[in-house]
Amino acid sequence: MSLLEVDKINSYYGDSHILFDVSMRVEEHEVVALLGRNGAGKSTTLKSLMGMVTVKSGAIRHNGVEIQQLPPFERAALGIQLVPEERRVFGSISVQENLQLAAMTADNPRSLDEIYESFPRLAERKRNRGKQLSGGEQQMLAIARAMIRNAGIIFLDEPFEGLAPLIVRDLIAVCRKLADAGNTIVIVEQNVRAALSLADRCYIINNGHMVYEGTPNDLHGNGEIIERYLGVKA
Amino acid sequence: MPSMSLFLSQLFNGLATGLLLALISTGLTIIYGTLGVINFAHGALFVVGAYAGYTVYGITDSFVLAIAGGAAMSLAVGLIIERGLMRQYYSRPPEDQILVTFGIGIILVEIVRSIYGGVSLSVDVPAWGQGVAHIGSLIYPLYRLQALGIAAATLLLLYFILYRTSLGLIVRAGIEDAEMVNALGINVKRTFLLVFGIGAMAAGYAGMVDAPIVTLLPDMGHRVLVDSFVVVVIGGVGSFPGAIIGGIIAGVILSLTSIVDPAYSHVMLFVVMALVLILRPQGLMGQEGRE
Amino acid sequence: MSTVHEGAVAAHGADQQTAGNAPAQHSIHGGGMRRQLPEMIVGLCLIAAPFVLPYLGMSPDLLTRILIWGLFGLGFDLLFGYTGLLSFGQAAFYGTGGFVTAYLLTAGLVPNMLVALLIGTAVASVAGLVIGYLTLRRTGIYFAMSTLAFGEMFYFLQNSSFKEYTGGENGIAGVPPPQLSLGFVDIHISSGWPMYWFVAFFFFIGYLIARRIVRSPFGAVLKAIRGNPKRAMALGHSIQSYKLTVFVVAAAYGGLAGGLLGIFQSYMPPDAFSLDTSAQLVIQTVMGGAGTLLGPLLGATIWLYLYEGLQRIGELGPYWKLILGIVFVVLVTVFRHGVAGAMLDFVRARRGRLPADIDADASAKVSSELSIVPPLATSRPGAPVLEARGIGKQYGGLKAVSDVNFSLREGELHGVIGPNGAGKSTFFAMLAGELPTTTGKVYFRGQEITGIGVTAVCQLGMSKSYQINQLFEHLTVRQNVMIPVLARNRGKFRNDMLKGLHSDALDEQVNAAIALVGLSSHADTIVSEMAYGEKRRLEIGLALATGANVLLFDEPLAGLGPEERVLVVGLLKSIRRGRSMVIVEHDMDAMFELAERITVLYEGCKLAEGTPDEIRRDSSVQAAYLGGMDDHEPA
Repeated sequence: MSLLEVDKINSYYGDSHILFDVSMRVEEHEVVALLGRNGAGKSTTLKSLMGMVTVKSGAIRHNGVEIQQLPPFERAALGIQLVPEERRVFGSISVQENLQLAAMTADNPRSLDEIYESFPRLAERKRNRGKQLSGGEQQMLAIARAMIRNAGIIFLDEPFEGLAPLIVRDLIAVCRKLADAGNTIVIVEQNVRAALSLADRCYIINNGHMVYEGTPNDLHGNGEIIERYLGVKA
Repeated sequence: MPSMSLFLSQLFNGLATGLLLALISTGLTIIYGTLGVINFAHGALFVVGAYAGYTVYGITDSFVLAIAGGAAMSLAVGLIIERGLMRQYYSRPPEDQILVTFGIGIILVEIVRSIYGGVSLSVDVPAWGQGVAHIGSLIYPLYRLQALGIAAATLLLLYFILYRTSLGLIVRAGIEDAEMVNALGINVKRTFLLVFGIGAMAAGYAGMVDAPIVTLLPDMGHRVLVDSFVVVVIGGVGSFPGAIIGGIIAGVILSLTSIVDPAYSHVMLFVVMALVLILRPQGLMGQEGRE
Repeated sequence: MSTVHEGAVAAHGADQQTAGNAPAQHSIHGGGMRRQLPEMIVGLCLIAAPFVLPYLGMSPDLLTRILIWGLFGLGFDLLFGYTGLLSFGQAAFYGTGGFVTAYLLTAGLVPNMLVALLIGTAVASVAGLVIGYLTLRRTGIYFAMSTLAFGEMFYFLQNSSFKEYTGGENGIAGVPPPQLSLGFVDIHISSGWPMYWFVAFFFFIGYLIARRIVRSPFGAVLKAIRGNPKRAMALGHSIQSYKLTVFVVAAAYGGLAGGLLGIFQSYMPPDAFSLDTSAQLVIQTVMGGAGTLLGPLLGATIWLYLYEGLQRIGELGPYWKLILGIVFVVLVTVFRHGVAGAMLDFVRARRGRLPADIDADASAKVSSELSIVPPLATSRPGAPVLEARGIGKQYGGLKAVSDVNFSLREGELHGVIGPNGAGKSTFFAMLAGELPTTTGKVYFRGQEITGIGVTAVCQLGMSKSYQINQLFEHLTVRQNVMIPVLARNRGKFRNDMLKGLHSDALDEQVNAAIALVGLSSHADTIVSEMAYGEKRRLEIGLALATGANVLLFDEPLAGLGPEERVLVVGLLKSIRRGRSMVIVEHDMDAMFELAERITVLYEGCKLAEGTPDEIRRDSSVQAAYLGGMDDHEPA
């Protein structure tokens, strides 16, 4: 039984049908990459899994139990954690308060010290308010919030977007450490190279349909698929 | 030229009124900031608190218990309103929320009127508040000074709750991004309930604290509603510091301008509000675009 | 790939509209008379009332009072029910009109009662202009709060600065009973039924005018503002002007009603200015049903009749306001549209639609070609129709877009693509004249349009279709499409509130636009009931109906299923004649099929530009999409 099983879900923004019968699975300790051009439906998939987008049909199973009816805070209680695309750190409260907020309802939270050890940059800025952080620091904080909750499965939605290559390199290292430590991660990215360097398996979404499943090696060898769904070949 | 003692006594009046107004407006602005609901029943909650406190005072003869009773009653009413009615209104347009809270306000005031009648009632100043205080050359009613102190202390308590407790952290984060708070595992809906309750309680509490200074009438809530709206527009919706600053400004304007002519004082307040609307529409400390 | 027909889209559900082939219609016989039906009914009711209603225990005084509130409510309903502006301060104008009229009559300054009423109404209108200007700077909750506060300010002014004119707490007593001098005879209007007829006359005139306003082009724009103010602006209307105008109209109605109150009671009470009065107006309107014009009258009947009725039942007397409050809350919660609204909803549910929803005459108009705004005389032939020179946008330290040059040729279909975070939305907003640039300028046919705003740009002949549907959900397709055509025919503001809505110029263009996007069979369907794909086509139709010769499409295929994508691609191809288009899209198949030239944005800069084939073969574009280029350093 997979840790997370997505069974033919159809998701909507209002009455706009975004995902069409999307299925995928995530095994424990895996890193799964969800790829596709923007507008393809990658973020919508993660948001559907977190309960922030309406799923009108299909099922989402966590350890075999259906969760598609649960509100976000109950899914978070099960150990599912989304690090959203816009980061959404709370700008009006400090780094430390952001982390404290995240840790509040976690069953077995990590300690603040542990987090500051993994993210020394954040330790330096612990009293600064969220809006005073740079883009890269905000991304780190967003990931740290998921880490402090000791989440069973972490969804990373475009973590490298809009960041300078050097920062991206640092963040990839952070993600690498997370993966090596055994965390289960689903990463949505447009930056195909970065995503594939971390992933054990990958999926591709195009225009709301799941069109490919395979390993990074499989994908590397398949230039046709890469250009068709990820590049700009018609 | 007004005398110094008149000026000072009006200044203190203004601060007392202002801080009480700040307390009431804080409740209003927190409710709006987190829930997005502008509570047109806020004045009615003030009235409920005052009258409930009056009853408790009559029974127990303890002013402290009376304040607690008033606060508890408006807290209870606030929770009932949220649970019973407001739940259904979060997805409806803001005009509907305004209308239903306004209707609830009418119902509450009429219930008060039917229980207590329409004649004005007075609440005695508690024993420890009777007499006068000497501030320099100024002779000032003791209770008013105490009311000022009580309001200030309560605002400090609210500040402490908002900025130093977990609940306050949730509220502040929730004002900014309630959905994200939800995604981090916190049941925001339950927090909403509490926030509405605290906001309501603040109004009722202020109602009882203010009671010995004014006469109780079921319709006194109207003035409170209008004044707290002006404070929130001046200070900025959703901002706790804004409510405090706005409240103080409003209270001081009302008091000081009444030296010139009592009838003008409210007009001046509205003129200031008009200026804010023209020059800085989001309020002194408000966030731009927060409608 | 399906074949595409010129001028229409072949699809299941869509018609193939040829000129003169009107869809099945209800009988249009008597359509003109039918439109006047409400006026006739109201007129008849007003005449019949004195003979019927006394049997229900209604005195002439009660009826007169109800009519005064009804008149007050006509203006308020235009403001709130039709335009969506909830004002809690209308008493300011009621009191102003009333006190000015009463003062003029009691002080003997103006002997003629009608002139006094006119002056009172005029002064109230001026007050409306001032207060409206101040309060309409905000919307929604802020607007409601500030109208409430300003209303109160008038209350205080009445009791302080103007006390010697208004009598302060005492009001103005001794307003003389009305009399009309018709040259050879003087008519004295005594209290009782004669007063009723006097006031009923004013109400009826007020109702006729309000009906005209509602069915005028001006009225159509008001409804659009209520539904989606931002889109109404983007379709070429200056909504602030409309809002201010209707605010003044509401103030005028209030002033007239106030003046009549003073004459009716021979006394002008100070509580005419109170918050209670403003609140009573709002409650009555909501209870009766906002957006129906007669809702306030109905609500006033409920309120005043209930009040009188409850007084007669001894024990319940003092509780009348409590009972009313409960009734009000129940109505707002359960019957969202008030009593009249509930009745209309019931009729609509039974019959499928109301006669008012269907414009029988309009759809019979022959569909011609949708006309396009001709290019400005100033544009040089061969010059780009839309051009951006070195535009950039900086937010604090963040450069969203830097130094992008872009040009659109006449008749071209130009695509814009780029990975996430490329700055496409910001670029597009600047190109559309919505967003001011930090650097660089944007030109439309040689005229600078940098940041001039959506309304001005639309009036110049460029329009945008949105990624997320921005429609007028509570109106029909036809009513939706009318909005942009009205802006094109009338400019950004015209005070034509007494003119009829329909004209050949309007209806033919509306039909043509509807036919162009294949929605003719849905012309009288309310938008909220349509399927997503149909709404998407309407979204495009609105932009087309502005007559724009340059169109910007923001992800036109967003949220569409595979078959619908094919349809919309066909639609986009079919509308190219006479128009130049820019499309932002993520669907690469569609983009490469449609675009003649493609610009690629990456990290806020222009990365590449060329024909689809050139872009396909460009390795830097591939690298950008696949994961950033290793040696690329952002600016």
